Amino acid sequence: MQEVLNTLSNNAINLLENVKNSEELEEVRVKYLGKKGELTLVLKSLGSVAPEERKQIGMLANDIRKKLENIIESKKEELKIKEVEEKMKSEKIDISMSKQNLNAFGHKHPLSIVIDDIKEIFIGMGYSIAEGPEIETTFFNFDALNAPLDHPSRDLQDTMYITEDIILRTQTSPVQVRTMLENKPPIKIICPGRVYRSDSVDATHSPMFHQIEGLVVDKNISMADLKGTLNMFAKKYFGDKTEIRFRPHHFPFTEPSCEVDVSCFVCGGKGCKTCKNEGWIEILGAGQVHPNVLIAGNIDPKEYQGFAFGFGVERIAMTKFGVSDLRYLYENDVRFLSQF
Amino acid sequence: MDVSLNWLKEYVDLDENVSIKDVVDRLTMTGTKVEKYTKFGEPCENVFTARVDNVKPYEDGLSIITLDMEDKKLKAVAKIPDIEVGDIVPVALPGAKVIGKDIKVSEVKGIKSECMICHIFDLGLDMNFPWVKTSGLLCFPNDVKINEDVSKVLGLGDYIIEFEITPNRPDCLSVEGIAKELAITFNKPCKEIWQYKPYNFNVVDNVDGVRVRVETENCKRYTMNIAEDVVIKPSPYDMQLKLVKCGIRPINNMVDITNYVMVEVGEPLHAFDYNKLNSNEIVVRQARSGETLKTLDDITRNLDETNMVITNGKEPIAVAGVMGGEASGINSNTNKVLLESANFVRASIRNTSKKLVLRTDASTRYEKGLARDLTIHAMNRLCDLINSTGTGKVSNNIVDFYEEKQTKTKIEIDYDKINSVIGTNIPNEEIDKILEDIGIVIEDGIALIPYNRTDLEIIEDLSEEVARFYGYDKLPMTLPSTELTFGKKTHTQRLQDEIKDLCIANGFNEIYTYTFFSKDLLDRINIDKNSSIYNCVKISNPLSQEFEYMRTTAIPSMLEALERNYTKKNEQAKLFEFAKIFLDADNILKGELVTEENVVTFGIYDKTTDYYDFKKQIENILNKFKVLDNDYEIKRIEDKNVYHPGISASIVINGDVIAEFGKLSPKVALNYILPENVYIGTIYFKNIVKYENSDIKFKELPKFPAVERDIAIVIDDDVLTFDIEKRLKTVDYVERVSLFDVYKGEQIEQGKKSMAYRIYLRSNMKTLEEQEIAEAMNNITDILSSEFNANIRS
Repeated sequence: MQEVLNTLSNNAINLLENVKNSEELEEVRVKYLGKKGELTLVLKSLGSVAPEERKQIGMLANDIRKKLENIIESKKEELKIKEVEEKMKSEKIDISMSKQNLNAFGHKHPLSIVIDDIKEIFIGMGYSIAEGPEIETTFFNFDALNAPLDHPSRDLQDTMYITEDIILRTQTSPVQVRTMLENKPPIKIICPGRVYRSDSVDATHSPMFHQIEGLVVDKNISMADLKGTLNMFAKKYFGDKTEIRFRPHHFPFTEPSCEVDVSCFVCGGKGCKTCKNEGWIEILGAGQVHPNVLIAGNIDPKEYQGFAFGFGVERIAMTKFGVSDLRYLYENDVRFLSQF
Repeated sequence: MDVSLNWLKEYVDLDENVSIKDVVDRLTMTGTKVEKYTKFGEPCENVFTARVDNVKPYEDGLSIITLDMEDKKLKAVAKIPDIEVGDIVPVALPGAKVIGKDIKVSEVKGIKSECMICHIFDLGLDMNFPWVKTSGLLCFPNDVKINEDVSKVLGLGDYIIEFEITPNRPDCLSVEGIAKELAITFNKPCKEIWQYKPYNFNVVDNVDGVRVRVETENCKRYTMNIAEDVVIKPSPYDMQLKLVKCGIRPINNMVDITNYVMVEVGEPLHAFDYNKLNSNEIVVRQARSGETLKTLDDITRNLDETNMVITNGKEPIAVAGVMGGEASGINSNTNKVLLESANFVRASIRNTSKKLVLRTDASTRYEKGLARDLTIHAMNRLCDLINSTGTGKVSNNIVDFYEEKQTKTKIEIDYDKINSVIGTNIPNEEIDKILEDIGIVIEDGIALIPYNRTDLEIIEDLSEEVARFYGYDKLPMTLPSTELTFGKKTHTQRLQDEIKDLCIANGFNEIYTYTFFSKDLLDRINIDKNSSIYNCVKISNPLSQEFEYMRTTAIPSMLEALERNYTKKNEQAKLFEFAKIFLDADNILKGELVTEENVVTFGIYDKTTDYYDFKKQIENILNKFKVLDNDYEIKRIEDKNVYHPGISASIVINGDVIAEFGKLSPKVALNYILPENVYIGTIYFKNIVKYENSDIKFKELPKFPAVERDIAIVIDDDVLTFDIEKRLKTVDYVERVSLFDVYKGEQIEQGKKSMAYRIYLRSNMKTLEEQEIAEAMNNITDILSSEFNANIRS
């Protein structure tokens, strides 16, 4: 009996070792461990075995069953993995193809990219974002900004008028005074926005364009603070190696005033096409807020000082991205837009 | 303003090693911005002036030319058809160098030249240079001495510097003004070029019987004198050359002197031919409507009340501050001249200059606003030059209308404030030094501002002067030491940025369009003329008709963008714009500002996108802000011609339109070059702000299972599934209603559709029992048949 069992065991193990798939495995299992399987039958027939042998044979048969079950279990795992592997092998696709109709992401307009990046830098420096109307009064656009009635910027040739007193704002600077009237120092704001001037459309001009205004008002705010602020901005926006340069200039609403250049971020200041061999690129106008402007904003110039600055967004976008013609920015050709 | 470096060097002794680049860079850094600079000609060696003594024609158009060089006579063979005896010309001697090349004097047709007559190009100059004959021969004015080094005579290698003078510095529209800046910049003294010998003018009420009457507020000073025994001839060569280098063409001594003084001191001057005045008075007044004047440029100008004129008491003889009249102009027969040095109000000159489209050297100076006391300074120099050049004789008697005197500006010097504004600790002595260099006299802590620095009015102006010459580049870099400010976007600004990001994530490209348009575009999208959209803010002086009105809808700009892409053969375009429209135009009539509203405008042409894709994207965006958590409705758009009435919808909450979207009306599409399937839409951003919900509150996940039941109905085609779903969701235990099949066609009656829904039922309290489910489903079938007139199929 013992021998029969051992032979049975060896045969079964042999068969199990050679099974190729889960069906064969199942067949072998049924053949030995099924209801009518060979080993099952042996176990069922234990009653007819001599009592002195019964225990021994029973233990042996049980050991064999456990052994076979273990082998079947591990074989099952093995075959499962093998089958998955085979399936995987057959599942090869052209991974270079793409779905044609799937929605690709859209693109942010370059002007928005510039505005958003600049906003983020100034928010990081503790600035808030201010806003103001595009159809503005001459009071906020001119009078409050120290540009008297006979100031050239008020000319019909430069400004689009709705009525004598209402115009399309020519700059984002009116937001300075609006902000001062509504807030007490310390004031730290930037104001991105659309502005309008009577310039015909060409490669560098547009009757509508964008500016970002900045204003800081508090006690003892100095031109050195302006310089430090813009230096930090330039390094964050154009790169750590960027230097800035202040040149004296004139604006009616700042005194002292300056124009600010950054060292060319393309050539690093050596001179190239982008900077017209100057090594410097003019990016903004700035200065100390004129006391008359503070007064218009209901702020006492004896107690407070401030600085203001203004960027032309189009100019920055064009130099930064190398856009050759301003008209591209407003033509909205998807071949252009999708490059950003 | 163009000035030659040599002229400036007459005022300032620059060190030998200072290059032109140093000059322009340092001037730019102290605020006198150099736009560009160009080299004047090319220095040459061994080239001298010579007088043509004889011209003998030879073969082939050549001539044998004898040149008088004072100590010798030289022969040259050349083909210069317009050379004449007496011409003073540049001659290169053997061993000469022009434009860096050695000149070899050779034999032509068997005749040996002893020298070469230079072409204008040999000197690095061009044909526009005065005194050049058509052959390119430079023929010097006849007061140029012969046998002089041509390089020196012309100042070849000089630099012409073009300055960009800011409007607050009219004093720098003069050589004197720029020289002063140059001197301070290089820390050198500025020399007095001409002895300011105050003419000790006697101010009288008439000169030679001529009186002055000013009848307009726009003339603040009128200083007048008369030159007698005038002899019109060319002005001295040096004066001519300086004018040429400043871009002013020499004309005759009288005109050149007035121009020269204008460039030198910055005051425009005018000379009238006394004999053509036909009266003995000068009246300055506003022109009368209908008056005309033929100006020196030979154009007859129509004048009106906004133009100021100089008259002889009867008719205009000059457009004040802009240009003189032709009739009273100086010509070769002039022998007596009335001299004007006047001060006019800047806006008046600017307006006239703009109106007449006539900008002159005079008007560009006047429109910046000149110092009133400058007239007498200029008159001084004018008289000085008329006398010293033998142009005429001027007396010491002048008429000087001057009622409103220029105030003398005094500023209390607050050294701390000066430093505080620019963030420095410059010692008081250094500040004093800079201010004194500028010409400010300091008396007991008070700065007395020189009369020609009208831009200096307040302490901050002095701060700027100190900063400029201390050096903007030396200002320290600090950061504002305010109390902590919190940098952030407002909630609305955050929503605005988020909605743009969502549009981009949904595949839309962001566009920027002009916010003004022409009303034709409203007609193009079939807007009714009585619609409020047709009531736009009008620009009174638009650039063109194309940009005449502020837009009340951004759809036309969007359609233009789509059309532009389509005509450029771009396969598809999916665009959005976040920008303003301008409403309530009538506010303008009340003197108030209008409503500026931000809208998101969408536009798509793309073969693979249909209405449902587009609607889903709009809903995705609205859902992101939980706008659709509100009780909302979806309605057909019936009142907007731009949309296809059957394939467009609006989403409405409490009567507020959140969004409109759908297919472009095929009727509107006829007006555009666009493909068949175009979708457009608008999200009204203010209503996103109104109905969004940013409060996040966690809702417990359901503890009990949901059951699903399907139901199929046949219903009128007109019924919107939105209404069915909305109604069914009000039934007890109904958690979600999901449409999974719609069928129209065979087996379904015309005008009906078959719809299959999956209903998800759930209770928060317990597992639903069969009976409760059945009840709910009964309610549903009841509602469907009674309220929606539906036939239940299963």
